[in-house]
Amino acid sequence: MIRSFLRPVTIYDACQQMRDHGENAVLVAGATHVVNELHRGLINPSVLVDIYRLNGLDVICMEGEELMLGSLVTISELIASSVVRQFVPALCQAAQSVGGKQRRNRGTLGGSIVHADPGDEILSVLSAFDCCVVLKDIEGERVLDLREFISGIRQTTIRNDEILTEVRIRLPERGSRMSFRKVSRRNASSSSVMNLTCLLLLKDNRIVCARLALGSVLTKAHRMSDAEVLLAQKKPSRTLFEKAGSLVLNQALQEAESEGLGIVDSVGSYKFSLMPHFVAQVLTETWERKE
Amino acid sequence: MGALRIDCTINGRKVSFLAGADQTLLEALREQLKLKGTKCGCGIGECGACTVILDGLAVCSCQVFVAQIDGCAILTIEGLGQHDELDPLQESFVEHRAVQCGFCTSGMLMSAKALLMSRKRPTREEIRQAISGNLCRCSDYNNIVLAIEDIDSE
Repeated sequence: MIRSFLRPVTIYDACQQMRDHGENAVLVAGATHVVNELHRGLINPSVLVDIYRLNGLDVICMEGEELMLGSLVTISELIASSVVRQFVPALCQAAQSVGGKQRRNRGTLGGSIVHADPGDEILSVLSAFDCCVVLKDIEGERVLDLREFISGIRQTTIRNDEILTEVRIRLPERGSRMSFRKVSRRNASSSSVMNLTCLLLLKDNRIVCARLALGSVLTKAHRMSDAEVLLAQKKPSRTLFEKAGSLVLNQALQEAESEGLGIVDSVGSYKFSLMPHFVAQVLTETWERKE
Repeated sequence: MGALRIDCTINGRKVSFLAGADQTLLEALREQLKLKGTKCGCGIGECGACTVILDGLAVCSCQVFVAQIDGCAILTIEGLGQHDELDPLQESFVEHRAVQCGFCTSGMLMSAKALLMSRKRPTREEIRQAISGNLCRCSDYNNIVLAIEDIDSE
């Protein structure tokens, strides 16, 4: 039963309160995840520590070749940001596909990351980039690569007395084309059956660099390195993209097996039969996008 | 469990009340403040029936802890029109017969109102986007979109 609802005014106070109450405390920001987890009995805290109104965690800015995003930036703010739209348009596309308008108005970037849902649209895009998260506690901060941060399905390496304050995205080379697509049952308020973030850098009609991050299939969004290697230094074509789709399928099947995921159930087999065509389609779309 | 004192503005009136730490805004509106026009549908932020406008933005009131609204301004369906005069948006819903069973209507109206507060003349696509988090199981979306489109916010 929740006995206290604390409203710290600084990050330090919030970290201190989290440390004081230990495992009995849960951090709340937009609350869209926490309310549902409470209702489903997945968490049972006695203290909620609300950081939604902490100052300074809603900043969006460029610093050198990195895009810095505060953890309290809402999904709607990501969509509205001209900086995000200019430098990481795939993040805008992904943000537009999250929930309904109401959830986007309230849900935060930090909430998406710490809940580490394998189908999370924002995490799929971040996984395609070199991306770090900044975690603060009362003693200082540590910076972790996103790949080290997410350890499994809805699992991260954050400690209970740490707060995710910032995300740093290293921008790809200028001229990269990128897109995000998801397959879902409805256009809105529907989680991903499967999603893909695709990034292509072309020079003289050759692919110099390709990145593919597949979400909602494995325990977390996963880079599809076999297909990335195939695509590098090749001339883009429909045939090449279909081959890449087949490689993504093969890699996803192998990864699923090594992660111990059942793939013979109806949802699993549906995803896997859809995958090659979906990947080829997103690659084509990305190729046809303007730089 | 210690009760929290909440001071906020609801439908233009300053309000103070005591709330539990685990209470949602929806529960407080319906149970403590007796503002029952805001509906409880799914309770998990997917149907939009409980939509209210919090500091100018449409949110699902089932997804907000009431303790988080201290100092905020909330507009619910009860604050949309005057006692004896409907809001033009409500008039338009009536004219376009955009209501069937009516369960989603207050949420639809609040999502539409939030859109019209930020965009005077939204496009049809913007209207569809704005109400995309509101489910109507009678599936009367076309008339709802037409009703919102027909509003002159000038």
